[in-house]
Amino acid sequence: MRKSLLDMEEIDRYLFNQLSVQERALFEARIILESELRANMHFQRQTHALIRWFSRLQKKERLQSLHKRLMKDKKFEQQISTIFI
Amino acid sequence: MDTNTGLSMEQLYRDAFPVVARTIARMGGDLESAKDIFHDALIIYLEKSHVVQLNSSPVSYLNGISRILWIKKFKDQLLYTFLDGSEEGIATTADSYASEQETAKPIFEYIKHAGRKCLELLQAFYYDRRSMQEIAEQFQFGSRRSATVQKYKCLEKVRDQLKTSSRYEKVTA
Repeated sequence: MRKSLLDMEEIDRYLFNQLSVQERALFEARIILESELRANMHFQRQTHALIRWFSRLQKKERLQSLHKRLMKDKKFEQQISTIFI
Repeated sequence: MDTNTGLSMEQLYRDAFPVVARTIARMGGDLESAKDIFHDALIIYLEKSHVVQLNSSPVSYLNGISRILWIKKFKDQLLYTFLDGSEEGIATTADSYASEQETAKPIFEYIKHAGRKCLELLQAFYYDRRSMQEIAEQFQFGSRRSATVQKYKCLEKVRDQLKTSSRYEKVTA
């Protein structure tokens, strides 16, 4: 794996608390010394959040269509609407 | 959509939504808000069930979260900010969900830029928490290692897009 990908792997392991105490100390020293690595870590964390956000949005859309589909089922629709009378 | 429990999402929806709807109705909510609360609760449930063994039944767990989300929504509307510790653990996920939804919308394009296969691979690992072994099999990689390399290449694509855009924003700001 090329260096930039190895760094990504290490950033992931740092962010997910998978480094040993020694590896962690070394990595934190590198973060202080290497501004590029520091920036990459910042954006990698944002990327994780973006993936999470996107996945949740997708799930919500699927749930909306499931809801629509189930509400077309007369029996289910009646069961639900009587609750809100 | 899978529920991680062998139960189909449709079956879980049919079982749990009437229970949740009754809870929300009793607390004064309408159908639309019951549905929204239920969907948030389902997402929380699906995420939690990836990482921890949930002790209660899916229906009572969903009903419990929905109740908490409703109370929280009500408190927020009253600008009442106190949350006791027991609510905080669950409520946080919903909070971050709402704020991410607002802030991340303009950067929707960056994640799409990676391409569909990359996106699915990233979601399988970072959201669905599947192991690299499972991912290698699902996406038909020759080995776990080559799946890992591809995962980082995909992650790099999205990350570098974000990075470039932030530089651009700095220049134009």
